[in-house]
Amino acid sequence: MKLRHVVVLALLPLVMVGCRKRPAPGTPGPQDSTLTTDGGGQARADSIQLAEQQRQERERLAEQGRLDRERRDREAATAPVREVLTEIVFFDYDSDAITPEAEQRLQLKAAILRANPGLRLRIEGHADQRGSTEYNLALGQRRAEAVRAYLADYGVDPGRFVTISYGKERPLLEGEGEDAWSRNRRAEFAVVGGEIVNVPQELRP
Amino acid sequence: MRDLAFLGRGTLLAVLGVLGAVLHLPAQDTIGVRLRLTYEPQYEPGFVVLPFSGAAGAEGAATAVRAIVRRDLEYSDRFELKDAAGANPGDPVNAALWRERGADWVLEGSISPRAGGYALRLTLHDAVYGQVKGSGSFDLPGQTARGFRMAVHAASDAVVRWATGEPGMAASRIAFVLQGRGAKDIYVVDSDGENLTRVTTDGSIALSPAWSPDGARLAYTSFRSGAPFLYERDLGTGADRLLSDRAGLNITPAYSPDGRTVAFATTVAGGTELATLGPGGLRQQTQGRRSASLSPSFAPDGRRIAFVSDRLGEPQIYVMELGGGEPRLVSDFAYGRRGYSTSPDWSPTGGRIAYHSRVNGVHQVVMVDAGGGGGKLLTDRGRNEDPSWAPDGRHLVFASPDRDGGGLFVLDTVSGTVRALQRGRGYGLPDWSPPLARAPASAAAGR
Repeated sequence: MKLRHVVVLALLPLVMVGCRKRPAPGTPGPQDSTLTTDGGGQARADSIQLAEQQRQERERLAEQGRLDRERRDREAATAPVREVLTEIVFFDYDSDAITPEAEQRLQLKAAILRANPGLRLRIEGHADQRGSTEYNLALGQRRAEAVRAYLADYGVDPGRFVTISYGKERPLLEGEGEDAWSRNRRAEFAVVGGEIVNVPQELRP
Repeated sequence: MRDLAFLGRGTLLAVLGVLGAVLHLPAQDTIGVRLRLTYEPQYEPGFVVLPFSGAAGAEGAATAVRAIVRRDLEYSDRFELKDAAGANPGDPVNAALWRERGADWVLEGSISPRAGGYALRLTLHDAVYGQVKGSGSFDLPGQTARGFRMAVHAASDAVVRWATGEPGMAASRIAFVLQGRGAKDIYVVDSDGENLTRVTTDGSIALSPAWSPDGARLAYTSFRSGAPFLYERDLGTGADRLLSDRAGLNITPAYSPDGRTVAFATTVAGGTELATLGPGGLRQQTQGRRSASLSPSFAPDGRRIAFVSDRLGEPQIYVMELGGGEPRLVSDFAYGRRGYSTSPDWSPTGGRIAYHSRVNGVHQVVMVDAGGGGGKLLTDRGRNEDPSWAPDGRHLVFASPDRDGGGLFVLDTVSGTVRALQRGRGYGLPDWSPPLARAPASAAAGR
């Protein structure tokens, strides 16, 4: 195993020499003066340099793998938090008033946002199918703004949110009837910046 | 002017009157004030379009042009079209004979080739008075040219004006939104349902197309950049211009009659307010204080707008002087009646505002006098929304998801006649263009 490594390393410089970028004229090369005329010495130096580069690359990949694992672990640990953060809140007909049920959900969101000052959210306002297309855009916007204002009241900088209204253009449930309508009168949440690094007191078991 | 003709049809009118009484369909409003669908029976004078004569090389065009003109006159809902059976192209016009067959108007036409197209000559005979009421020459491009049908429509509108003294609406188009697979795009179609053309291909949500007064541009909202921004499409070049990309909403555009200002709704301090974008820059026009103001429509004088506001709770229609006027409620025309009312459109000929209002829980097209009062229910079958006036100030186009399978429909507000313009699901937000072609000066009224 070890032997094969050596062979491979010995062969590689020959391939790599041709690929190496020529040093710019006037700029000293990495192994200047002493090895300029000795072709074998140059190959050896290149080989050493390459081994060093490969070692660095392996370390970099290992480090990235570690970070990825950490991030995945953290995501797994914070997945329930993210779920709470992006949980949809619903509204009454033609209303932007925060219902008691929505209030509970928004207070938990506020706690998460306070514990993670880097997080930024997009709040999307939506309306059901009954109203007018154009008026529902205004209604959706008002719902998104009402959520923003509510979270601001609970100590979250309103500048951490962007709001958008889709009116009735993006229903959660297709179809007519109160079942569909009540699911479509809503605000949705998406993380647009930052990460969840802290689990707030309110969500700890 | 047509009094004699009216007197001559007294018996018919009496019969129509009885029919009309039967047709007064009541519609009970949720609040308790009755809104009725009330169309007065109309006398439609008989109209015969004689076969057009075509000079050598224009025979085919003569048939095609006559068919377009005849259908335009039918769609004007102002005449009862009579069969021209027995008439041959080029026969001398015998107005008395056609009068006996029930025609008040006789249209004579001839077509001859000219460089780059055809010359169409039309003469309108008043069969009751035995006079020529109007005549004129119209230059048409070649039959395959893009402007061919629109040039013929302009001739039809001239005929309507000779006969009635009022503007027609044949030479116009309708922009609208159509729901496709996961996207909404803007399309344009001629007033007679021909020449369907797609305008946007964003694969996003495009909404609220609004015609510029010269018919060359459409303002609209698109989500294609991730948020509802306002754009202007040059229909000649296909180029788009960003009009407004403020945070929040940039929706419901409307051009002023001089075409220099666009009014629209945008987010200000968390509320939806009306703003105008014009030579003086951006100006906020409403102070809703967290209530919403949107969907502006200019009066022909350019100084007032009709718009939607929910400052009293449910959305209602208001009229306001631009530049700091006090909004005045106009959709409470029946005392105490305050149904959800949106999507106003101010008639280009002045006096009326059409919108849709919730009646028995369903959107119906309604119109009121711009000064308030005079409310009239115009539809009562299915769900009918987003009316827009034709340039004749008489017809409205509206969208319905469920009437006869859904689509866009053209309503004559005088007779109540409805015809389908486009059929199917997913049609919405139609906007009827201004006149897109006018008859040349040579088309003068006679006498």
